Amino acid sequence: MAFPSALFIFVLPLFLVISPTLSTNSEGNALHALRSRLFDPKNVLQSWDPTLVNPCTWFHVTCDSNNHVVRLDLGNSNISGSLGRELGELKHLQYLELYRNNIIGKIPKELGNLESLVSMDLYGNKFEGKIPKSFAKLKSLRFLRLNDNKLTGSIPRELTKLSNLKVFDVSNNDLCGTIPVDGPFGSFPMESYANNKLKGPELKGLVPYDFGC
Amino acid sequence: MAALWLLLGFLSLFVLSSSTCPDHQKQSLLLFKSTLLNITRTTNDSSSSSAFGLESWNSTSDCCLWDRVTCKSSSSSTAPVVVALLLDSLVSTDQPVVVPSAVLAPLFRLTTLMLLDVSSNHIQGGIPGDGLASLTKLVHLDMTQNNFSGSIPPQLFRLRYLQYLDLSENMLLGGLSQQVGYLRDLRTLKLDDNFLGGSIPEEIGNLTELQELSLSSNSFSGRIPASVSNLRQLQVLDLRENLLSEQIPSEIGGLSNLSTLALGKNKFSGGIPRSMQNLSKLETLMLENNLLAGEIPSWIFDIKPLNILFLGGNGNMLAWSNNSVTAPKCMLSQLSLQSCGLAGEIPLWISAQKALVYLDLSKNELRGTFPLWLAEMDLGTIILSDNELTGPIPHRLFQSWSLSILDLSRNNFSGELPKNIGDANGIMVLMLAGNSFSGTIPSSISDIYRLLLLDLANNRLSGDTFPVFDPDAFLAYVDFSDNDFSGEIPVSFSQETRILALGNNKFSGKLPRNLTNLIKLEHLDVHGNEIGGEFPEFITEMSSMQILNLRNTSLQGPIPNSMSNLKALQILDLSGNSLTGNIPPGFGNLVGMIDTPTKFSSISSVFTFPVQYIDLIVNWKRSVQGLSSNPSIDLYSLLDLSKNQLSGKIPASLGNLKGLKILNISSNSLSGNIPDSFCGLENVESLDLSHNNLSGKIPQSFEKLQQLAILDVSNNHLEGPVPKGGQMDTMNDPKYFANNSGLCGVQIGLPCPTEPVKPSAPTSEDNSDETNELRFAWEGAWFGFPLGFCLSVIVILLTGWFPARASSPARRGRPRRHAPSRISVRRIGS
Repeated sequence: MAFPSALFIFVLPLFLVISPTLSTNSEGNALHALRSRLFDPKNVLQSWDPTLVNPCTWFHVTCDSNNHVVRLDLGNSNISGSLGRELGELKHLQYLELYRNNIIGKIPKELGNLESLVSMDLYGNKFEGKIPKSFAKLKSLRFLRLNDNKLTGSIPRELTKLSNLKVFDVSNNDLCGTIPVDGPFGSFPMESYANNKLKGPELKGLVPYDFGC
Repeated sequence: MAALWLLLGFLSLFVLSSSTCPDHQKQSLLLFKSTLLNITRTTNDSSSSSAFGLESWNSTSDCCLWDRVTCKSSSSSTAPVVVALLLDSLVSTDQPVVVPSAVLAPLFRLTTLMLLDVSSNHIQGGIPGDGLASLTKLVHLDMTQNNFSGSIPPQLFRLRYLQYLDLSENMLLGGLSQQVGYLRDLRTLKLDDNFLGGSIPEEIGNLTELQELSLSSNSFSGRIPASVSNLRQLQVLDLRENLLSEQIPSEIGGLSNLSTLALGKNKFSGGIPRSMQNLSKLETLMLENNLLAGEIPSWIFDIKPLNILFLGGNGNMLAWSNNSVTAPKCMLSQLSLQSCGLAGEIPLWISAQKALVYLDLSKNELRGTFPLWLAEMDLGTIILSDNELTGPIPHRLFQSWSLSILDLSRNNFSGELPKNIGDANGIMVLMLAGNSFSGTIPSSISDIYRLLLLDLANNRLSGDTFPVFDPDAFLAYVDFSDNDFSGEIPVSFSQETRILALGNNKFSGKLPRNLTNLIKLEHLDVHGNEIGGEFPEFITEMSSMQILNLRNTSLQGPIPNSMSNLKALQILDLSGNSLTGNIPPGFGNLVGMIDTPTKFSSISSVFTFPVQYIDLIVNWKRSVQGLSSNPSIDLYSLLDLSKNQLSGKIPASLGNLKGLKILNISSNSLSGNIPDSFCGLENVESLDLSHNNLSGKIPQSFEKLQQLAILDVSNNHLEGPVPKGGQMDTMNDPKYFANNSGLCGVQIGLPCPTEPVKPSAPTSEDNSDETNELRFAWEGAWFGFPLGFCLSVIVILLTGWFPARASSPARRGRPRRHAPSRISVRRIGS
């Protein structure tokens, strides 16, 4: 596979480019802002050194060949604290894996700005509040797992526009209203909705989708 | 320290009585001594009481006459009591002793103590709050340079006579309580170098006697409380290296006694407050590495006592008005204007700063040549890196014994390196990387016996002869990468050499055997040279090696199994060679790749000067990254054997390497199964097995790889399901699974024969017969499900609601039932 060797040829110009971009490391700044909100008893964020030219060598962060952050893998990391709007700065993020931690607070609506997102795994935390309607902007999203949190409100109907969604799980929350049936929601198993206050599939024209909320 | 001597002087005014000290105090001190001795004896056999400086402490003499003990009597008629204990540095630093904080317990019976100094003693555990609370007369408490952990006990804030409190250089956690405001007599508060966070309490403003407030190197956040304006006596305010933000409060300008204001390395924003021009006693002003913006006010240079000035740096967007400063009234000794937007030539007014020893003008837009007047100033430190300076370096610069740091990296300097470079024999750090220097390395450079760091990378230097350094020289870091050097690999360096980077030159021939003379070598990088021949087995004798990069060096033959001797090896890159044979099973014993490193002991910590070097370039999770600039490089562990001709099975022992972050064995001819033991790679983030002849299944145990971010198994002969669970659920990029013999899984949209599938997945190219059978089986569901669903809907309509967990037969991955179900609902509803 010629992929890495081709890149090595460009190593020199690459670093000439990186060096002057110290002050414009917005993705690194966003991640560092995230770090400052989190409590990290297992020191999994130890390698997150904000003085580096980019966050690409930080553990649990993966970049593409243009040094844009594409993955954030912090599942099962014992981290607590809350998320902030700065995560919305990671415009190239494809995988947001924060499952099975102790993160509290609302899911920032700015996550809807992550338009390259393929997978968002926030399950197994203590998120509260509503599922942001802004998620409807995540056109590439294929996996959305929000189960085992304390989310309330209804499942936003806007999410039925997510035509690429393959896996959707909101079980074990405090959601109310009815279950959407449009778009990809026709194919998700009932387990995805278990242990909520949901009132069964949406009955078009009979009851509003947030009936009982 | 000054406060301590004042206090001792104050104590000496009292009559030192000749009568003995109270017996209970003596017994407490003897108990303290024996406890301490016991601890060190159990930890270290050879230690004796002489290590403690407590020789004079014995039961037969008056404890008031002992070393480190001061007594006083309040009048000639009363008996003397112990008032001061100077118990600093009792435990010598070269023995690894663990001293629990309980050792202090006997001291808390000396309730007459006014001064207690237990600094530099390796004490661990929580600060004994209850014990200290009994020392109600304490005026001076110094616990710096220990390993105290936990939070600051609130009892400390009840010691109402406290004037001096130093808890710096420990491992304290938590916040600074608002109760600190009770310590109204406090003159000095030092909490530097801990892990303290939270906001600085508003009550700090109650400490109106405070002269020194030093909280540097913690994680304090939020703003500087406006109440600091009450601290009229404050002379030193050091808040460097925290996370403090918002504007610098203009109230700071009212602290007219301030001589040191150090706010560098925070997140302060806004401009430099105008009120600061009232700080007429200011000697040190450090505002570097914040988020400050606006123009650099010229009045800064009118503060006459100003001596040390650090502005700019990472993050700040301060703008230099190029004609604002012409004749400063201050005489600076240190000046840093990093990233301040300086343009044009190096400003001439600097030449009038006759006291200057340190000058940092890096990361600006300076043009023109290196001025002769600057060479003639005989500075100690000159940092001009990352500018657009051109021309040669003047010879005059090296006619100086003062020069100790010269960093001209990443400019457009050219010409040959001056032959007299060795005359400046005080140079410790010489960084000339990223310029257009040509010619050979002057042989006189080996005369610089203090040289620690020599970075000549990324130039056009050439030649095949190299200066011969004294084996006893200090040189620890040599970087000649990315030049046109030729001939044999040079090894005539000091025995202190830790880093030797010679990559991307035109060196040829085998690695010389006497490389092993560099007994402390930790980092060897010779990638991209034409070395050839068999893998040099003597390298496996270099036991201090941590980083070995032999990428693209035309090596042939087998990898020696004795590689496992390199116990410290953390990063090994052998990619792009012609290595043959098996992957040695001994790799599984590479301790440096097994233990997860937790501490920083990186080479860059050798230098107090901020060293940034980029020469270790690796394939890091599929993006090319320079790891050497990372001060925490010791945390990294990777093994790259890709692009060779390795064959045979993957040794199961590789699964032992649980410290590895990256394992790349792609593009070889490896065969057999993926070892189940790979689930032991618990830290691995990128695992590349692609382009081999691997067969069998991907082990289900891969679900245990909790850190996995990239898994590439493409271009093998693998079959069966892609494991599910944990991070494997996110391994859903089909290209990393392509070109195998029948991999399947919901992640890649190729349904497996054994699991429920969506019939609507016709994207797969290699649909096997089983898949077709399965699709057929599901056709039944197409008919059956709508029927059942209609019944359910009828129930809904009858009962009014339907708990979601009802006995629905639906399972994950059921066939598409959306269209029929909705039609059913409508039909019934209409």
